[in-house]
Amino acid sequence: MSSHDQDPLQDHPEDHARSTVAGNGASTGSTRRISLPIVDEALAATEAASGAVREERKYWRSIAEKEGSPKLAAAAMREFPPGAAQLPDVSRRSFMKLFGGGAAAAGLAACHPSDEQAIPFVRRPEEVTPGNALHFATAYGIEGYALGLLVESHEGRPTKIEGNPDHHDSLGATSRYEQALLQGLYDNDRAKQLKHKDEPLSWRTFLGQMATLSARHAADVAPSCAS
Amino acid sequence: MLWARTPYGRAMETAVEQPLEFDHRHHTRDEGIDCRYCHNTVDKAPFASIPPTQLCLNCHSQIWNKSPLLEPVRKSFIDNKPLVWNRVYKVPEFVYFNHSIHVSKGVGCVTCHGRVDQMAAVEKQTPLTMGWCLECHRHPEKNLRPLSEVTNMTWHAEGDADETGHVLAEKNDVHTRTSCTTCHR
Repeated sequence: MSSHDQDPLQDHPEDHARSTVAGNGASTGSTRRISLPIVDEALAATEAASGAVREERKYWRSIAEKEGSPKLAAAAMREFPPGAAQLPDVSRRSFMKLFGGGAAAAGLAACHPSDEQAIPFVRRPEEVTPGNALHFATAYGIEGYALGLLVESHEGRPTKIEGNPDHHDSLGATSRYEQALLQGLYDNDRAKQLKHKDEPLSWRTFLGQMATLSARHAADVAPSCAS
Repeated sequence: MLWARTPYGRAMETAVEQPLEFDHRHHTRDEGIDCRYCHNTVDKAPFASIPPTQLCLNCHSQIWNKSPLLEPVRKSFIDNKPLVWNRVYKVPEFVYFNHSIHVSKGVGCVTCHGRVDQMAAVEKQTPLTMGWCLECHRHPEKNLRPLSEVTNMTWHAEGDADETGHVLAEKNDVHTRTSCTTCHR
C-alpha cells in the first residue's frame, strides 16, 4: 500500500470513494478511512503477488483519445479553431455583395439538368420491384429464446425490424434489443468476413462444414423421429 | 432571376445525352411496344423502372443481335455490369412521389413526360415545380383518362372534356390532394 494510506486522517479522493461504499451509512458521518492494519496487509500482499501497480482509472471520450492521437492532442490545445474569434476582413457592404452573389449562384445551381445517374439491374431478381420493400421472416435469439421477426429490406438493404405477427411470442411486437439489431448490422466494427478460430474461412467451406454438421445431427435424431 | 422561370432555366426541353443511342421513337412508333413492356413496375411501385439489361435482350438476343449499336448492351449482360443511364426526371429528395398511384388513377404517361414517342433523346417536358404539381392536385379531373388509355400518346376526350373528367374522377375515386403531407412526408 502506498504511504498515504498509513495516515488515517489524510483525505484522498480514492479513499473517499472507497469509504462511501464500504462504510455504508457510517453513523459518524466521517468520510475518512480508518486504517486497519490487517486489511492493509492483505491488500499489500495481493498487490505484491500480482505485481500490478494500482492505476487511477482513465476514461476516454473517443477512440482517437484512447489511442493518444497526436492530431487530436494538437486540436485540443485550442478550444476554437484558428481565426474563429476574428471578424472576417470585409466591410458590411462587400459582405452583402458576397452574400447576395452566393445566394443567386445557389439558385442557379438548381437550373441545370440533373447529373444523377439511373442504374438498372442487369438481371432483376424475380421478387424485387425497385422502390417496393421486401419483408423477410427471420428470428433472433436471446438467452435461448427465439423471437420471430420481419425485416424490411429496400433493394437488398435491411432498414427496419419489427415483430412477426404470426409468431406466438412476438405477435408483431419487439423489445429494444430487436429494434437495435440494425445498429449491429451497419456497425463499422462488424466482422467483414467469415472466420473460424481467427482463420479466414470461405463461404463455400463454411457451407460444407455446416452440411457435414447437419448431416451428423440428422443421423443422431433419426431413430427418435421414426418412432 | 427571370431566367430561372424559363423552360431552359428549369432544365426543360434539353435532350439528355445517354451512353447508348436508344431511340424511343423507333420502339414505340415503329414497333408499337407499350410503355409498360419496359417500364413495367410503373403501376405497382414508386419507380417506373429503367429496364434491366436482361429485358433488352428478350428481343435483342433474336433481332439485331449483331448490331454494333447494341454492343454495350451485350457487354453489360456478359460482364454483369449495369448500363448507366443519365437521369432526365427527378423530383427533389424532400418530395414523395409514387408512379403507381398516378397511373392507377388514370393520369397518362404523356401528361408529365410529353410525346416520348417523338423524342430521339428523352428530354424533360414539364417543369416539376410545386406550382405545376398543385395545378393538377387541385383539379385532377382535367388530366384524367380511362385506365385503358394511360399509355396512349394521342388520346383526347371525345365530346365534353370537362364532363368526361368528372365522370372518370367519380369512377376511379380521384380527389383533390393539397395537404402538405401528401408529398412532403
